[in-house]
Amino acid sequence: MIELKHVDKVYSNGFKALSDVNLKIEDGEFVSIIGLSGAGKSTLVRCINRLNDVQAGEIIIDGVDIATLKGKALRVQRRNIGMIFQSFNLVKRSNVITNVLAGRVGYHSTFETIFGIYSKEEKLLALQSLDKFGILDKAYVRANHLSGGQQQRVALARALTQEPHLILADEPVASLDPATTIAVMNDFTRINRMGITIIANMHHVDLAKKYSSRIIGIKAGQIVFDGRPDEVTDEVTMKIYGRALNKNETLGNIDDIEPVTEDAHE
Amino acid sequence: MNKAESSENKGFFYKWVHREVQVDLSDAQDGSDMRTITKKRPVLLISLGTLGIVVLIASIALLNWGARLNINFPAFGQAIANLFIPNPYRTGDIAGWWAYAWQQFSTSFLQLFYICFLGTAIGSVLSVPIYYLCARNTNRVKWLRTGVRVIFDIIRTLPIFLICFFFSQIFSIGNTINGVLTMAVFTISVKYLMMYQYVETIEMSPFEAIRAAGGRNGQCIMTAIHPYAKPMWISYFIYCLEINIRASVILSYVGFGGYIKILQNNIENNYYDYVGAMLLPLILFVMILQFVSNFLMRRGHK
Amino acid sequence: MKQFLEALKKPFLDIHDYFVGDTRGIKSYADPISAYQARPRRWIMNLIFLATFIGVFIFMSWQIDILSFGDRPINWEYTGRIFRTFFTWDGDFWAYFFGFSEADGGWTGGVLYNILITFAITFIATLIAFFIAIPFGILASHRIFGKWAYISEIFLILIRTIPEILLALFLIRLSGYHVLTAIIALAFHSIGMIGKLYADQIDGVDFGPMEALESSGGNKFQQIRYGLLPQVMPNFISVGLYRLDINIRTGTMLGLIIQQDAGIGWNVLLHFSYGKYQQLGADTLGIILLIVLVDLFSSFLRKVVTK
Repeated sequence: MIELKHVDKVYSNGFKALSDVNLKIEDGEFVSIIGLSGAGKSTLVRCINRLNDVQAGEIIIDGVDIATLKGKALRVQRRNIGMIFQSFNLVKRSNVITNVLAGRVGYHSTFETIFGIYSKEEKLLALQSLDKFGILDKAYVRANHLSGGQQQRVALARALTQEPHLILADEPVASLDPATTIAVMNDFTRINRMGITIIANMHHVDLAKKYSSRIIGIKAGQIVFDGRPDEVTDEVTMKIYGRALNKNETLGNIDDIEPVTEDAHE
Repeated sequence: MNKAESSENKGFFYKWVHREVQVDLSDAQDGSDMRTITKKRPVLLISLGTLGIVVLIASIALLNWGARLNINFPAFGQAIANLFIPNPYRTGDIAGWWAYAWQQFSTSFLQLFYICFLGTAIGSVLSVPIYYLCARNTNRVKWLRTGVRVIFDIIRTLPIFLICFFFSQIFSIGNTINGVLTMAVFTISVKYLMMYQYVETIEMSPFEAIRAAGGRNGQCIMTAIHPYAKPMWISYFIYCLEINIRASVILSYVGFGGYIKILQNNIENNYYDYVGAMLLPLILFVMILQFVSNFLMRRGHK
Repeated sequence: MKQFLEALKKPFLDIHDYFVGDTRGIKSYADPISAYQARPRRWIMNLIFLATFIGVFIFMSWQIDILSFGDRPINWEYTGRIFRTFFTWDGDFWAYFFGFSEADGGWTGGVLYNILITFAITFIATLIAFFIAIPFGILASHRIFGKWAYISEIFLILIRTIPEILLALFLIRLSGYHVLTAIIALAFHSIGMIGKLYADQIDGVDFGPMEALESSGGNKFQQIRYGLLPQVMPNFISVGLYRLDINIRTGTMLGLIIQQDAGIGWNVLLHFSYGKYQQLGADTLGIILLIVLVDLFSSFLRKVVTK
């Protein structure tokens, strides 16, 4: 269970990104965060695993306040939280399996990382995670030879190899084409069914409505909406965005798009 | 026009910089459409040029041009020609010239090459932690970063001659280890700068992903930065080897025997056929290394 | 024929797959277990590399007899004394540093005067190379001259291969033990370096203005003069300043060969040879001062120019 209490975040240039955020997320939920760009969506997600420090408040994950942790304790918390990025953030010069195994660094010492020492079980775990997303055949290919959708799946496999309780996703599908987007979102649903909580920033409102079990609307650093997807009406989006939705903020006819699971090798 | 009028009450310098010129904008160039426009002089270029000329004049005035000038084109031409003409009293014939070249290559030149290679290898390996300590994105502790940078900035200013002098005062003059350690220090001082500047340009997004997975700083560097820095490290290795071979020439003045000392003696004694035979491997090696490092750098940037 | 070539390639590809992995992504694995069995054995390759490297290292160390320094025990007491002398910054030190000595009757030409001479030689040489390298750099640009650029490129590489110190030793036959020799040696070598950097800079700029001039009927010279040079001049000046920074390091050493009137190098050699380590310390301080000042000045100007 994740609980945020009175979380404040002020950037060093004085910009107040989050003010008094209170949130309670149960295990196994699929939470989408929607809002304008610059509203604090990204900051909120990055605060949960302390990629951004917070100025005030508590972030309690499974009974531990992560907001004040330091050093090893923080790293142990972080390795239990997977993270997916918009630009995949893979090490493009390394091959896929190395990238996926990098999810295990939290379980190893620096010495072991320098010499790339991982146990057989970990390697099998990494290959199993790749297998779950149907990219096992690409295990020994260099990451920059993969397409965008494949790269995002490698990032998902990396997060899964951490054996996390929670996966954070910062605009996971914003740089993918519609067909790949649907496929990756289906992968997210699959992960969610394994019992892993997912908190994702979503750019497309209709995508968030279709895939998530709960939607949080955020505006100017404050939570303005918190409810089930079917409660998101035009009035609510009006409140969150302050205007009608732009064309690029919906993906459009989601149900008609055929998901591409195995996209062409570039 | 407003701008031109407002410049009336500006100072002389402003007027000099923003000069007004008459231009003819008509198609026929017959003066039917004359306009006044303000042109800006290239102040930066002019001031740099002035500075350059002043420093040049001062430099010329400072140097002592009168003494010991001895221009002798024929002697120089002869020296160049003699590089490739075997002398009957020394190398004998062309076979002797090649034999001498091979003899020098297989003994003294290889020794010099080994010294340079060992120094470059030691220095390159030792430079790895240093450049990660110096780069802004891999070491966020400011005092540590600045401290390491200042230390190596000072070492970087020391000429190779003086570095070798320091070592020769510890391990008495003439030992090969002086050369190896000198080359190692010189390599570190060249490489740490180039490498940390390169590391600072590496994208940090994979680093962030490993940090989010619970990695220590060292683990993040090893998994997310090092794969990008490695190709550059290798091409700078070749580059450093090449500049080390060229820089090693100066070591003969610190009591260093071998190839360079023999070469220097041959030049001073006017044994130019010997000199030519000895220069051949040096130039070949340096050229090959230059081609390789050019190739690697071009590939590395892709 | 094609099949034959494939068959010929196969063992090499197998070896590659065994050590590096299936980097082409053409194999498919039924399950994670079979993928695990097909994993690359990179550690074997790394071990072979490491063993080769260590082997080469030991071979070279043995060839140059690196342990011979152990024949004579290190005399730390002597070494300590030398370094103490080196860092004794007393009255004599400063008298030599500034070149004024009461005992020697006034002006003696100390460190400051000599580093100024070193700077003067380096500056003149770099300035000469700065201008002479422009045509060579343009000729070595592959984007302007295509294949013909190789002629100038190889010429520039040839120039670079000869170390400045050796060149200076040679040039003594041409102009004697004179500052001109130092200037020519330094300038000649710099042309090779600057020319290459010019060519790199030219290949990185926008060719729009040149193409516009070409379409309006300008010849190659006009294109370069009006379309290219104004654009790359700041980069060229930046390269020249960078080279000044590097040349100053070599410039300090040219005095070794040219001897008198050629800067600090000759003093360094004299004090080293006659064991005057305090004066050597003063020379070192001067060299560090000169290099730091030129470094700061050149990086400041480079920032101004390329802004």
